[in-house]
Amino acid sequence: MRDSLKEHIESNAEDFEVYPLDANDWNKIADKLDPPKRHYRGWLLGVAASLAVIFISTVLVMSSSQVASPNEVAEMEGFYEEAINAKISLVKNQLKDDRILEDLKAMDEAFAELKSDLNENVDNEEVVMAMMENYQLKLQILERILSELEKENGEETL
Amino acid sequence: MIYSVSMEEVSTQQTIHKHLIIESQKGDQGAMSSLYGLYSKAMYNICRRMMGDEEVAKDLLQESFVDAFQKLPKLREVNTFSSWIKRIVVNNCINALRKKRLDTAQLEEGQDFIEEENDDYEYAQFQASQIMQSIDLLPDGCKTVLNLYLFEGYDHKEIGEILGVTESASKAQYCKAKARIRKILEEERSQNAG
Repeated sequence: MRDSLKEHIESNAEDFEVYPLDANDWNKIADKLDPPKRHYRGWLLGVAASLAVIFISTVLVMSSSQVASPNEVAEMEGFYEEAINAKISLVKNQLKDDRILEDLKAMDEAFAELKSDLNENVDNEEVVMAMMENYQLKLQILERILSELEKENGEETL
Repeated sequence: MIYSVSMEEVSTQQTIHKHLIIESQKGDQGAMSSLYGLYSKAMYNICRRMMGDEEVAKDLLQESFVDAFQKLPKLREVNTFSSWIKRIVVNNCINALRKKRLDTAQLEEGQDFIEEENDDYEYAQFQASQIMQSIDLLPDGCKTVLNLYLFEGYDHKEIGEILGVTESASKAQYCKAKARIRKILEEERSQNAG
């Protein structure tokens, strides 16, 4: 069955785009798209790499120095765990997605592996002390994430 | 060697489009803006044809591009971008028509409409804009069928599935729409002649 309308339109397809789109509304679309994500992931990976270097260096330096008693270390460890958990709760409250926490978890796992590796080579006490450094740095990271999130949330409410 | 040059041009164009799509998938807003520039007119024409209203069409165009860019990272076959975004636009238009209470049940009516054997009408004697104006005057139901069949390349079986009607209802509505278009064009011609 011949369909001259379909034939005519198909062979002159461009002519049938008769409606002009004068206004470039790209800005309206861009406004509705998610703002470019801050690259926490890449930043965290960088921090994790630095942490690993510091951790290893600390262990190496401490292998030739005096360290605190195991009880003192355990006390400090408890203190840091508590402080870190408090900061994590604060970060969780401000986060729109769980990716940063996933990254922190991945970082923890990487450090657990590192700890296990180092356990085979150095004294336990030295490893624990090096982990203190890790706790301190982790606290600093969480504080930095918090301040970034606060800044970002502040910008959104403007 | 005109043929080889044009093939080269096509290939270059495809490479640029592919590059823009891949960069847009990574969230590059500059690439997204360029893709919008390349595809917005064609996509706007789909919206405008289907919705029959400039402002509604512009809103749907925006909505469709936002949808597309949000879903784009999941598009695996970048070569299918053109048909993929067209499908998003068509789906959004159909959803909007449904919200506007497009009565698909009425499409099932009048199926006794006699299917024409041949359509030899000389449409080339009219400007594209005249034909489009006559399409604009059709009721939403048969206009949707006609647009999907003529411009978006769906067959009647697919249109039936999209609109939830039978294939024969889609065919009947298409024939009805064409008959109306010819009538409008003829009336216009006789008015101009008179």
